[in-house]
Amino acid sequence: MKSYLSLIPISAKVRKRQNRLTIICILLAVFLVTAIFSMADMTIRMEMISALNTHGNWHIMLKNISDKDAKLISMRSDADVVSPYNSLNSNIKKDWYIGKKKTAVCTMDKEWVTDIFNILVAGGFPMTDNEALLSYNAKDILNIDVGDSFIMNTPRGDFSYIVSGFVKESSALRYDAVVMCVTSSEFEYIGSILGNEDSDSVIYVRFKDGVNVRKTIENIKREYGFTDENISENAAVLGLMGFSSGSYIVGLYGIAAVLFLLILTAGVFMIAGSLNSDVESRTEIFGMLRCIGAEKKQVIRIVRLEALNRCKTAIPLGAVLGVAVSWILCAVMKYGIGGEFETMPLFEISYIGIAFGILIGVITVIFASSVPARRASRVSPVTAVMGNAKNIKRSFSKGFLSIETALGINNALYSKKNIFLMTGSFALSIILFMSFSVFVDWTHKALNPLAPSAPDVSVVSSDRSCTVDRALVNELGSKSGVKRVYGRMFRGDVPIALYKNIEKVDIISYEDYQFGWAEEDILEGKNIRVVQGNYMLSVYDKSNPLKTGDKFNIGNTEIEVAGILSADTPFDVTEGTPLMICSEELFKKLTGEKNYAVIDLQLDKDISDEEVLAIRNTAGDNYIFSDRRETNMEIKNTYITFSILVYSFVGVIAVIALFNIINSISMSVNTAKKKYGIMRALGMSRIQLVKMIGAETFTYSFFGCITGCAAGLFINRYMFIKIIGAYFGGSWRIPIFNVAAVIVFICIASVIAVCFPSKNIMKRSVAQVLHTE
Amino acid sequence: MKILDVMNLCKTYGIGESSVNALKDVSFTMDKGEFATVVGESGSGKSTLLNIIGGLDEPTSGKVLFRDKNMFAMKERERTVFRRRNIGFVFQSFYLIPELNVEQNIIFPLLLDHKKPDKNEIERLLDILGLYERRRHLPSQLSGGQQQRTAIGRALASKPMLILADEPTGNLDSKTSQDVMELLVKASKIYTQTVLMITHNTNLTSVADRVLRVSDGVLTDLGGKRDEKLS
Repeated sequence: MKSYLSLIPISAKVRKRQNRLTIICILLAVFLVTAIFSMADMTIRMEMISALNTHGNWHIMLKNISDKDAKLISMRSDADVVSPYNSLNSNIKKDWYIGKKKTAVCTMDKEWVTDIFNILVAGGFPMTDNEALLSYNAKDILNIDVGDSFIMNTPRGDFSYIVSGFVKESSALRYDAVVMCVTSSEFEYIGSILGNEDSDSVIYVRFKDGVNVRKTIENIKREYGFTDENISENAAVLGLMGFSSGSYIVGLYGIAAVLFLLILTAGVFMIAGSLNSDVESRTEIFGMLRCIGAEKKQVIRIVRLEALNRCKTAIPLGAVLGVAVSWILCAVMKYGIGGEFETMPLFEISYIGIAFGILIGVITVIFASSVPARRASRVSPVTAVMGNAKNIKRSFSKGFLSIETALGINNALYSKKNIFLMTGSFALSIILFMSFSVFVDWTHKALNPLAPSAPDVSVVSSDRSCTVDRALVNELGSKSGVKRVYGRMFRGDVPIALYKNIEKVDIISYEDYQFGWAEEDILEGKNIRVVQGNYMLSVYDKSNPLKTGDKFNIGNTEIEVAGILSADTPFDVTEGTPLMICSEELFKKLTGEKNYAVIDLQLDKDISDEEVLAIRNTAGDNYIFSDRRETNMEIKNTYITFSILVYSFVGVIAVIALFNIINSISMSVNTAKKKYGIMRALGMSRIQLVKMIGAETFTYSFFGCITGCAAGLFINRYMFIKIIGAYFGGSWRIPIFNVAAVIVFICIASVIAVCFPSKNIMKRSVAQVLHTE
Repeated sequence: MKILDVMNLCKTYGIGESSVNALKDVSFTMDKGEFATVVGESGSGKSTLLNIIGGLDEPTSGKVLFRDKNMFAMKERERTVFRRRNIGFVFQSFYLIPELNVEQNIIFPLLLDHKKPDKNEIERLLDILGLYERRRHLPSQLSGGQQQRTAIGRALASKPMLILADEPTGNLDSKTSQDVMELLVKASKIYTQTVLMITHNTNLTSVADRVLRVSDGVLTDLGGKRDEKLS
């Protein structure tokens, strides 16, 4: 023992039970934050891989700049790669051909191909003027391979080359033609012969790691006098790097930060409650320490370091658990869902996740231990040694209650700080649950292909006009494997007599099936299936001023808005042009159309490919046949993942709440063990003791429920308005089911919380309880 | 040599009609190496006197001077440091740290003062206390007497000017009480330390150099074997 602080690890070994509870609290906080930030990090890495594949690994593109400026830019110390790119005939207007395909010509350096866009599929970069790279589509169209020769025919003569390699299409090479890439000298030669008036020269720049791209762009603009026209940014990549103000990364980490704060607060309350009980149970020890000469600061240091000592175990365990869970989630998303998640990295360590996990562990403990530490330091040495350390100011009142119930309630209420901490910790769990339950609704709303109206295949007119033969509905409906067929008519930009600044509307017709499904999406008013006359439903949109009861004219027909339909519909709403739904009869009356713009089909789950082919053949070649089964499946998978994530989180919150309640009661009982022993010695029966603990627990639960539900409903409403109301419409209603679930859960948790310490007390004799340490 | 000078000490609890004068104008002095006991009825003000001398409580008026230093003129932190260096406490209920073994409990005040314990001196102290064989034992593994001896060792470890003992034998049987008293006297002689002890047991006053009586907050010096003229 070298220092008075050596007391901490020695004490930790003896006080394993108290330690274990605090360790679990810290572990949970670290685990949750590590997992959340790791997942945010992995999602950003996944998006970054996709963005680099799609948009290229560059930061800015410079155009219309002088050669001198280009040279100066290439010499900048903060530039990692500066790569020029130039093209001729990029609009494919000139009659340059390779085989029968129109041809664009471009030049770039090797880095552009192999590093910035990484598009070399086969062969190598052209080393001589008679070599050329071809876009990959040429391989099949012209049936040529690396090393073969080919000719580009132009009105001013032919140019012969050897294929040095093939490049895949990138955003810069997406032409409906063959693209040929040559050396810069050959490019100049072609330009000199065929004309270079449409030359489109740009420079791609990628900055070194660690460079503040936003600041550098501003510097470049200032130093070289460039305007926004001279500089284009790779918005997707910069957004993911966090250099864009409204970027994805900011949003994602914003959510993570909110969760961080929620977990921090929950953690602080949980750990503070646990430490507070711990300090209270050792009041005499702290008083004695003060007697033998410990300064207040030393007592604070002991309590604080005791708490931080628990981080030694909790933080590594929490971080490892968080990383492991993030790996499992990544694997589930990558292999279980696929699609856009295919680029999700596997088994990668997120240092951000671990750093935030460690941070929350340390911060939580520092915050949580400050009040108990100060409390311990304030223990008066004289009151501690005189044996009346607990400074109880409120006298006990039995009232009409039984003695054990009154004592239990009194135990809960004797200290304002105690009831505040306990109520706060109960309430926080409820607030967390109420906040997250909004995400469950959001998931349902956001992934609308899961709506009952979602079709598996659609037969669509090529120009959204009503040209799909109505008779097809019956024909397709009779096919094997078809569950349901329904059509919609569509007319866009229908002029109306100016009303609330609206000049035109888009109109869609519904038939019985669709009106049936719409029933659940009616936000206000009535579904027009049951209303006869010239009524329409208006689809909710932030910019749509139409309300139920509004009347406007289409031609000579007066239309009344019968209700508002949630935006959770399978249509894109154009801002400024309200989308209206009406019956087929009204649609026909207004437009004179009788055929559909789209016919949707819902198919049996076990439909065979042959049956789908038969449906396709019935639809014929005059329409677009859109098979959405795979997309629907992907979205269903995404929905499942989202649901798993959201429900897992809600589940974790429930576990935290349960653990918190059990922990709090257990600590409270632990603190008062001696008192319980005395009461048992005085003649209190075991049942009475359990009732007393129960009364104490339910007092905390009662105040926790009231505070938690009040604050939770407020946050629930706020989040609903922000993330659901603003996008899908609808007004907030008290989530009665959630409130009921919370109350039932808290009651069950309280019963479990009472059972644990009671079982322990029941097993012990009066003497054991009295002499327990 | 005068170690302690208690001057006109008064302590009043509460205000108005409900106020209680726990100490009334108490004055006395103690010399280095002196062993004094304080006797008195329950509620007479003995513990209040001890707590104020020990700096655990503050007087309503009066002074407590340790080698002419007024403890209550010091700031709280300064007084704490002064206390841990100059005053050792022995309590009726021992108040040992349950997680620490005998030796660790004894050296703990030194560690609080950021001092490195002298291994030989601690071993000698353990020997005097008769706890050398038990030095690795936890308080829960000791008898009451052994626990109190450990508490005495803890009070002696930092070689304070004054040891304050509040009924150190109150929880012990008569045989163990005798042993503990002998040890306290022996230790005070070896280390020439001043001891002020509260006791209910008048039999124990025989070992003291002086006996002080507190009755209704008034202190009377009953003198003792060494200083017959004061009795």
